Amino acid sequence: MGYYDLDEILADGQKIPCRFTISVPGLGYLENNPGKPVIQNTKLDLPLWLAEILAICEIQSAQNDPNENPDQTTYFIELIQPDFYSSKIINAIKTNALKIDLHQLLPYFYKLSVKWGSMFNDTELMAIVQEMFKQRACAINDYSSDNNHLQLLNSEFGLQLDETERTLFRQCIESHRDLKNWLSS
Amino acid sequence: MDIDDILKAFDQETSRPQRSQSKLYSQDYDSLKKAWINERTSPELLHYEVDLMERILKRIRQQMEFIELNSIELQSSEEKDIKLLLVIIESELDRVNFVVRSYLRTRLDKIDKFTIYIHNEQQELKKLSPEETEYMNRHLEILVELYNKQFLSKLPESLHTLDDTSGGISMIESPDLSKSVFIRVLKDIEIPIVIGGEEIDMKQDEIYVLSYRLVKDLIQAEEVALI
Amino acid sequence: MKRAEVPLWLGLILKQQDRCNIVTPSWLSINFLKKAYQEEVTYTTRFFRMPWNWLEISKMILDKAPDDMTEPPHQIRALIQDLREVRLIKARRGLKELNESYMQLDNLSLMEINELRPMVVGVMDQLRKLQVGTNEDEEVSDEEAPLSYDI
Repeated sequence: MGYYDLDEILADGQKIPCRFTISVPGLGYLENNPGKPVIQNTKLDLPLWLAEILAICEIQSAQNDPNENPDQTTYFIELIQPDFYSSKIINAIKTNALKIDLHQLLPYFYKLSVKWGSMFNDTELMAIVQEMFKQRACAINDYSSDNNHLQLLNSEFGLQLDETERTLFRQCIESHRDLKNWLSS
Repeated sequence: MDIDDILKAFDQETSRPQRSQSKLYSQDYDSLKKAWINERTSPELLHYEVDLMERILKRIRQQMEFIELNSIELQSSEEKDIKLLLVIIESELDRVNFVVRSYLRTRLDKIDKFTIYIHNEQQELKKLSPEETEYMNRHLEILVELYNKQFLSKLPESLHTLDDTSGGISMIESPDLSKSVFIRVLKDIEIPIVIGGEEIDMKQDEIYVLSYRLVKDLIQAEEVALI
Repeated sequence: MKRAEVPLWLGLILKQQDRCNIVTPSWLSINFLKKAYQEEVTYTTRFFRMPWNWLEISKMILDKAPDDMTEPPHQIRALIQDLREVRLIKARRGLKELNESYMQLDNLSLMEINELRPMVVGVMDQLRKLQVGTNEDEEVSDEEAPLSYDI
């Protein structure tokens, strides 16, 4: 994970759904309501880098309410399961991982999944993501090793790769091409 | 000098049991290749091969002098085989030179990439040759000056640091020791390696891909080799 | 005629100067390569043991010293090509077993490893990053309880 990694920065900018646990004055501009507060329970899509901080940032009440349960810490927002991990998508992945249009779903699906996995320790979900990546990576490699890579570029699957997969595809093509060039040199 | 002598020189290398000088040279060349491959395939910077490089560089200088000396002679003499000998020495020199350059460039590449990390760690600084240390310090100086002139001076003071680690992601780029590497097992490994609860007995000549940090010590002990 | 063993690069220089013939290695023969091919087809889960640099050496000899070969070079070339392809297909099938921890690829040769390296390393590293809880990278600073999210 590099500080200067552009893909990492773009992945951090992906928006995920959140719910505000309290009303916050002045944040209305987040939902095109400048000057107004964000009301408690409002659902909003926030970029991951912001959501991550707000979700773990404890709210310190101005006056220490003695009645308040000290164990009960509240945070600014709660994260809601994003659509790209909905059971509908997960089932589709399980049925045929090669048919998922990851590019449309989320161009940084795997990078975001890595962050999500470490945030929530969601073993089950990550196992599914791993299996999907493996299957798709093998398909990518199969395409790239023959003279098939142009086919992949023009195929439906080729347009449905997420950024991590595209990078892998590029690397696979280069490697196979280098060897072929050397053999015929 | 004729072709038989050239061949004899090579025969001696392989047949004579005692550590003849030419055998020592060829061992040095093997060590250089190993250091080069290790440097190219390991995610982190390795220790600079001080003694080895000194011997190799000295030998390169000697060979170059030999070529120069004999090229002059070549013009006057009719001897054909001296020409062949020079061609061979030149080729060998080219081969060694290539590896030396690639070895040094690979190191410079890593030094550039992990400058601040290396700069801040005593352990890492020990891996550099004096020339590399000088290069790194100069390079860092120039870089910081450039950043300052270009944009840092226009930012608030608190954003001037280049080695802030307090945020979610450290600004210091450090090598990823978990990276997968290919290795070949050089001799049977007595103590099994544990990966995710599974014990693996490594036998000679087997080839594995696994995380660098699991075999870092075995590489240093020359029980496995990076590929 | 005198037989001597020299490094390949030197042999190639001498050959170029018409000072020697290169004796083709025994494995670079129709018989051996056919046998190797047969083995690759028979045993689907392991690779036949070829020399570590078989692709490089065969290429250099076929390119630079085909006239020294006792068997027709074009046949040898074709057999090398077949062998390379059957092994590549086998390797590709083996990659379905890629995982986040380790993989054993005995008897794969140097050039074959180079060809597969970006794929194997790329996939394994990505799978490792997706592995929950075993992120050795981050020396788990403080044991934070994982967050939870609403469905």
